[in-house]
Amino acid sequence: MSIEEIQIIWLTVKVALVSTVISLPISIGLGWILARKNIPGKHILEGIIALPLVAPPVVTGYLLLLLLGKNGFIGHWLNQINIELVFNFVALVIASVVVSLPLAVRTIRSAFELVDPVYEKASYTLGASKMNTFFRVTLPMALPGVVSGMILSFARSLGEFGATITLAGNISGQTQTISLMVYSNMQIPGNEMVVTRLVAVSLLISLGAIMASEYLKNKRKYLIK
Amino acid sequence: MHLKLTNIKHKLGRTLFNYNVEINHPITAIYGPSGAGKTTLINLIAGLEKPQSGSITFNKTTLFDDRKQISVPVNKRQLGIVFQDNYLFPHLNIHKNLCYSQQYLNGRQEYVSFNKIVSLLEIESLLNKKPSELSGGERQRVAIGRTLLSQPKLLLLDEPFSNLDRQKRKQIISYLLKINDEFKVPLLIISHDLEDVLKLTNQLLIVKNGCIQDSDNYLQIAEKGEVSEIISHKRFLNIIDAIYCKVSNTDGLASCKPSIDADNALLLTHKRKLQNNIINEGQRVRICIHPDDIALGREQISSISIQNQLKGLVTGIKETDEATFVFIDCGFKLISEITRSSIKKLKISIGDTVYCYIKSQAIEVVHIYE
Repeated sequence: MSIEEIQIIWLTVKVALVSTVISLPISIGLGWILARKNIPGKHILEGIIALPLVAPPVVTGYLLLLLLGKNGFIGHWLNQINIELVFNFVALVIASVVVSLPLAVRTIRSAFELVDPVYEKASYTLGASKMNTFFRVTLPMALPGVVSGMILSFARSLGEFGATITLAGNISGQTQTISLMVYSNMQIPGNEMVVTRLVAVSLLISLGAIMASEYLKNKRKYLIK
Repeated sequence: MHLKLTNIKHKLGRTLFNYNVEINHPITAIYGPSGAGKTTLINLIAGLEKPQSGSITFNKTTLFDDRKQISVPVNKRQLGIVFQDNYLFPHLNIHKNLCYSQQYLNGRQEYVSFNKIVSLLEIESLLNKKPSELSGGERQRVAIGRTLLSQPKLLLLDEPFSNLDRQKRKQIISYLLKINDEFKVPLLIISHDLEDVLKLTNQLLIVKNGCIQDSDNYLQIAEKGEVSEIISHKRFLNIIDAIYCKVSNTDGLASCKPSIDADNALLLTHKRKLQNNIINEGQRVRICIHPDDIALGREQISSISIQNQLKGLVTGIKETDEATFVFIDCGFKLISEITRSSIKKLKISIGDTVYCYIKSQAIEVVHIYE
């Protein structure tokens, strides 16, 4: 394996890790709201969150580009204070967060839904506030589901392609992740070994993540029981 | 303790609940059929549900008043609930479950200590276990302990005997009486099992169709006959608080009197112990007798093995579809269940003098007061 390949694997893992860390509080917040609250416009919120799951990733990337590009709705404001959100590491992370968020939210939401609200009521009657109850009862009881959601989000980030290439480009040494490098090398005759190696690494990481997620899902069932 | 619900109106779906009641007794049982509104009542008291209107006061503190726009949050009411299915936190071990409320006491006076609860409820050996490793009875004991350690001013229990076998029910009843005795914490208990309820208290609150139908001593409720379910209940009991007076070593019998100066005493088989507690002479005990274990006659019978032949006055007769209940005043109230034909045969009517025949083995001690 070449140094370039190792750097690309590291970049991909780094992007997946950072986007997972960023997704964590957002997914927990959204998952809890969707599981526990009856807010007006809940269905619209559900739709917006789930959209990147069903929309073609390139479309998601294009919409992000319209929003964050130099001439985009938000991008042109940020450009004035020298903040660039496209064709760099930040763009890789943004694309990953947006695409993987629906998976994390759905898993975490169902983890919260599995926690019987009477546990929370029991906590209130023992003197705990809503905030304390969330951190001492709801979240720990949903924790295997939360971790499982995070692993799925991490795995999704690893394989992200469409939104990434649209928002961050395919710049070698800067924004080229495993998927993008596989794509690029597929176009070059004689580079099949590079493709095979990267595919193998990608599959190994993804498989490990899915297995960990399934293990935690079973643990969650045990915990709730 | 003084709990008052005034004009509480609450709507759940299409069902309208309306509660008006004052509770002063240290142990009160909420009794009624399933879906009558028993759990809703304690949820409203605890603050887990918010009524549309009315007021709830507890010991002069207003917990809810729609006119004054007062609604004390659940975690500030200092009322403990033991839920029907325990709801011990599955991710915490028993020790951590018990200590859950510790950080929310905010310097409040602690009348129940951890060590005392652990020894009283006999849960020392469970402290390092997870709730999933416990039996139904053990879980119930831990749930009661966890709630008590939050130092509640009132303990609300929702069907604490459900899912427990007869032996475990007996044990929980004994623990609850001990708790009330030792810590003086008032208890408000939901149950649809009259036998369990009556072993705990004679004060009933009858809930039916989302309303309080009656709140009184069970004998008064039964005698009024307004609530036919109470009296016709197959597991109806006579409950008497008495003094365990005299033990005869020769015939293995002990006598119990409702008070020292009472004329009539009940003879029962002497039991040295009740669930590890030694019964001493002079101690107050709670005894129970099933109405169908009390036979009636017109005169004393000498040639019979039955030791208890108490003279009393018939104060009421209630007939139901299944049986006839005769209310007798023997210095304390007793209810006897006999057949309609026996009533006719003996020509028993209100004001008559009768003898109550009770076998000593039919009298059961259910609790020893400290």
